[in-house]
Amino acid sequence: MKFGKRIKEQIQESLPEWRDKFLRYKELKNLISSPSLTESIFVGLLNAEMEKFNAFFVEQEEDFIIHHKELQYRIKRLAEKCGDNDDETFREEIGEMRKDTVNFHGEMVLLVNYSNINYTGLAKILKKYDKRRGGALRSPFIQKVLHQPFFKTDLVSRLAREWETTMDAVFPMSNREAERGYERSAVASSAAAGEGIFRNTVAALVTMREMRRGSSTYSAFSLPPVNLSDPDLVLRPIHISSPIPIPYS
Amino acid sequence: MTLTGDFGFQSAMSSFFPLLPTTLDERYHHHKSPNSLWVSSGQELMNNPVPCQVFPLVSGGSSSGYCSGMYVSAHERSSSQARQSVPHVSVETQSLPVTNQPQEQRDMSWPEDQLQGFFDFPVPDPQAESSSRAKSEWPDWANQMISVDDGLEPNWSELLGDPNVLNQDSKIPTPSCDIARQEIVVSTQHQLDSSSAKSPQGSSMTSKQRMRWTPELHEAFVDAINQLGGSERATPKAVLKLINSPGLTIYHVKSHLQKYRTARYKPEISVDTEKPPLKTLKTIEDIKSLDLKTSIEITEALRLQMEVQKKLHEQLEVQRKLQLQIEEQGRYLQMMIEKQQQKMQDKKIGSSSGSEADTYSAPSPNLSQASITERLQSGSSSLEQKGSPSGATKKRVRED
Repeated sequence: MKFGKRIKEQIQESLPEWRDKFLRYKELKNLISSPSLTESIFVGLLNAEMEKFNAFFVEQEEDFIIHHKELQYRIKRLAEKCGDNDDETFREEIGEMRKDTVNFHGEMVLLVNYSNINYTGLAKILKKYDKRRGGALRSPFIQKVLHQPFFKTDLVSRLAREWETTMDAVFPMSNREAERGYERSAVASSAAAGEGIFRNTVAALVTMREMRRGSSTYSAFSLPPVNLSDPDLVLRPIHISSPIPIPYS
Repeated sequence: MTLTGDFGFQSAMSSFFPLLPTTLDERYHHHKSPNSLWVSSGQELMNNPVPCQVFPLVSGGSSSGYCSGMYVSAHERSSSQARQSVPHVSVETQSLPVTNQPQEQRDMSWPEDQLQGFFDFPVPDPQAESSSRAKSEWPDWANQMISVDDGLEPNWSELLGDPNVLNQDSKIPTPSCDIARQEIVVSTQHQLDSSSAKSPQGSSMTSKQRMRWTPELHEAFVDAINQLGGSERATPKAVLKLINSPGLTIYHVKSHLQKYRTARYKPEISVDTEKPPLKTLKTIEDIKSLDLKTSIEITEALRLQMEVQKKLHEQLEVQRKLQLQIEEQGRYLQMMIEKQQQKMQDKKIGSSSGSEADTYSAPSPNLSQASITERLQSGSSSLEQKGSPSGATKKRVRED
């Protein structure tokens, strides 16, 4: 029950174009209790879901590859334009560039998150099915999932990491700066939190933490609690006011 | 502070970008190694870049699932992390046919005519009552999805049955070590299989191959575009010819070109416009100081956003690793249990003495998944023997 809520929240917070690309967890769950559902139908539905994931994921990935290259060109052009002097006229363009880069990185991470959520959902729904029907569908099916395009997030992950390295160089930060930054940015971030990507990212992190806090059906296949090194440091200053009250149990 | 920030940005930009050519060179250099030709077997897979796969759209759910298991992207090769990731992939692909085949056929194969019969609406059901109830019970989306998705499973298990068919028959010798050629593996055998196995699908479906692009291939694409005088002037046909990569269809190029044009068009606009018209009338000083303040805040907000994103990314990687490990352990455990059960069966059937059975029954059957998960957690290698096997244990894993 908890995952159903979580995935719903995730979908709510996600970018609009993505919302109908997620796993239809709730519907599938309800279908399991239907007596007329056969295994073949269920598998067929899951396959269709995976097809949906694959198509969406591969398409997004292609977009990212193109965009990745374009951003690199843009940076190069901007660097050439600015030269070595800090001209204030370029500050805006640089700021724009930074924003686009950060958002691009964010989108890529969200795609990886998308992949993960759907994988987790599939695993859970299969577990439910097996439990309800006494089947052994889960294990072989999951093996199949592991080889799906949408699960293979290596490329996107790598591109994201490249930008992380870049941004580390671009945003060098001392400790004191960091503290002051967090305090001051609390104001700015609540404004920025209106931005879809940032909002979605925070929601994803919170969801992940909540999901792994422990459940009533904790089993061997459950993941351990999330181990964030300094979770509250990052997440505490952020307070996203949601228009729709999301009950956190 | 903004000044230094900007300086940092600029110098970082200029120092960052020179990195790019070298990393690209690295990759290309690897590509040009004499052994990197077409993927022909699981072994060669490890040495060769296979950044992109072409596989049928419709069977994406199943057969492509298998094929993309052979996906080893080029980037994984060019660094030390390739050493770690590549063997892992090989384990997956090699073990998949072995362990899954029996289970697969047991669980998921069903007579195709039965499946076909089901998908023919209205459903011919002797119990008319239950069938009408069934139809109304399911939401429209489920019915829709079922009608789209047929013939997947048989194709997949067929592929599983011949795990090496794909590998052996896709040996296509290339005359030159052309980068673009190396970047696409055309699993021609697979295409043949799919088109023959799914002839009821119609040839129109098989022509829509789903393509997975890679940065390297995109690079070749961009080169071709530039050679042809820009994205506006280049035609898909010309681009296709220049890239010269078997398996790449004009359809792929067309859609990619469209995306490319869109991507280029947007940033061009933002770069060219000087100032956004949102600036209100103020004194120069006001504007400067306001700019400074807001830009500091914006920078900080961006920095924070970046931190959060990095964190999520990191956590996703961790979670993924754990999930894979859990599945791996689960499969291993399942195998052990089945072996054990087999042995017990044999012992029952046979009339041999019980001494062997005794030694076996003590340690291993009580391996529980929970204990293995705990081992993952605590890092210790001792296994506890508690609870019932596989999955039903409600054990809390200790938080470190």
